[in-house]
Amino acid sequence: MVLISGAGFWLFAGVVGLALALMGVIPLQPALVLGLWLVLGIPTFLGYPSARVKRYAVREQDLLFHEGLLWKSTTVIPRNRIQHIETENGPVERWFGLVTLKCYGAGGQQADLVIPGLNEALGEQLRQHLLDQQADDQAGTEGDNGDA
Amino acid sequence: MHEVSDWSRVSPLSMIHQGIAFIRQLAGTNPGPLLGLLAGAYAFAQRSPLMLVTTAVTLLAAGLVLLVLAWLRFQYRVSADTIQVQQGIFTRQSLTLEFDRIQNVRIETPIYLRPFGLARLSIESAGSSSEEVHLPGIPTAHAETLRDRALASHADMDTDGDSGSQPEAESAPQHLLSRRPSDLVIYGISSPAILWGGAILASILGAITRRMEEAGSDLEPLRALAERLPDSVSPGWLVAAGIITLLGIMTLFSIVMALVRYHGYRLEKAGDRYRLHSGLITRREQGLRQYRIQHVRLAQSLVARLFGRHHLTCHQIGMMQPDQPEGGGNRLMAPALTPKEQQQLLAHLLPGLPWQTLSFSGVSWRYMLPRLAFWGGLWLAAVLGALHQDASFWILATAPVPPALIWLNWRRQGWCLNGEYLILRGGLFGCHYTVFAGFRAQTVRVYDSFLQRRVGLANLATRLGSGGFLLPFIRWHDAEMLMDELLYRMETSNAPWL
Repeated sequence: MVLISGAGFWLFAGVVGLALALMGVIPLQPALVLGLWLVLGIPTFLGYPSARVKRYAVREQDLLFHEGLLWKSTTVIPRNRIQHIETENGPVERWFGLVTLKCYGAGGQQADLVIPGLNEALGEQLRQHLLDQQADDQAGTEGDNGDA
Repeated sequence: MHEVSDWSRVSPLSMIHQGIAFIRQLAGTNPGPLLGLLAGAYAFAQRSPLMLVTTAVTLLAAGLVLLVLAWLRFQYRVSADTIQVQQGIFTRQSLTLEFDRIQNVRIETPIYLRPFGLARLSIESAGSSSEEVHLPGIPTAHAETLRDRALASHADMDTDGDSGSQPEAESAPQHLLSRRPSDLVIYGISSPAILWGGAILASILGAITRRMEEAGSDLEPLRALAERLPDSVSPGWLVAAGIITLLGIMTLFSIVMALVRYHGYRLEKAGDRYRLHSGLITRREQGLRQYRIQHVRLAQSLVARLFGRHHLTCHQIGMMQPDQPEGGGNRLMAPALTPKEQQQLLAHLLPGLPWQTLSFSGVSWRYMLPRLAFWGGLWLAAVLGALHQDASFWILATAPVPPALIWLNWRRQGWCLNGEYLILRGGLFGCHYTVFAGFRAQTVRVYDSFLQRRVGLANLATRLGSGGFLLPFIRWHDAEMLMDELLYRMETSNAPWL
């Protein structure tokens, strides 16, 4: 997904830039344009391998997300700390039937845990699952409070 | 049993408050453009005074009309367990806040409302800052009853949870701390607010010099001054004197701010509630419940270190605000604590933490590598530039300064896990500690670069409701252990963590 949206742009940009340089419209060496294109495009070309290593895990008590090729990171958010959950899909994601799941904790502006590129059905299922658990938790703690 | 009372308005004197607040916001956030505007208006006035006067009068009149409309449209109503507010001139907003959800109540009495016995009541909900109710200009007694009512209904539901040690919320208040003016002066000298003063000064100076350049007056007066000085005074000394004067002004500004802000400081504890009174011009009353404290920060700058003092802040949920002389509304400050006072206060704030006997683990020496590489690169570029342009070589002499600072900073980095508390240490000349209980965390992230991985290092980032903290370059096993420990605390604790 990342690869396709990014590569679409970069392939186009590269071809146009090279063509313009060859025709002499922009006063730069074609080789320089090619080099620039390659350097700027690195994140895009790494899109596929980096998407391959993005993975998530749903455990009994928490949700994990792992990503990174050279800079690896593992993020964990316990279910009882999730304040709300959002699923989001832009036009390109919608075209491919994908969603991005975002989990928010309290007191922050940004999502604490983001899982991109889930199947729509799976994303919805996951969201529902996490929400259910949240409801259970709250009912549970409130019950405890009542007893105490 | 309380029937719903009717909508009521705040005192019309609140308009003064709103007007002043508006001007303060305008001047406080960025005085540069405002000064520019004033200077522009002045230049314009010389050309057509009549036009300017009519513009000014129109603006003032429009402002007044808006203030009156805003006052007319601002209504509030208190029922048994909610408070409702309606406001807005063009779009009407209506906000209902349940007393159970209230996180914090603040009463402020600005000097211009004090003679009329009025106060400003701020009620914050546990959610975002947009869910805040401000009632400017209600009678002080009314504000206090409202506060007590809001907090009383809150106390009922909080008797569970982890605290549980004090059964009665409203026992006799216990005096914890008061500050003498000398303490506040120390705080003024050593607090980060000094930088804030510097920022204001810089932006004012920037605006002035810009105006001067535009006016074409250049630096003529300064040059004239320099010529009149005796030869023994070199430009270098002049610059030094200028810097010292600036520092002096900033320090003075900071001291005055500290004295005004924390005059009559009194910190009390009643049950599990801390209450803080302070302020000269605007008298404030802040309250904070023990279990609301997310993290405690104990900071010591270089100057504070010379005096042997620490500044303590208790943070609750909300985004970290930059250090302001006003001090954010959602944290409790204890300035310039002596070691003894610090120990007493910590015993209340972090019960069961043996502060004196903590032993910290440092971080790997490789922490310095990326920083050294960055500064080395910068220095190399500077040297190359100097070689190229044949500039003065004293820049070479500055080489050992950044590495020394980096080394100092590395020495300060550390962490300690004691019981349920995690303590992070950092700093440069001074030292600062961040303490929080493990179950307060919300997210944990362990990450490492490929270079760190080769030598078995990782970084640990945790986020609390009150901000995020980073523990860099620790052993991978420690990071893993800390992550597991935090997750265990989070997932097994039933205590309210916000």
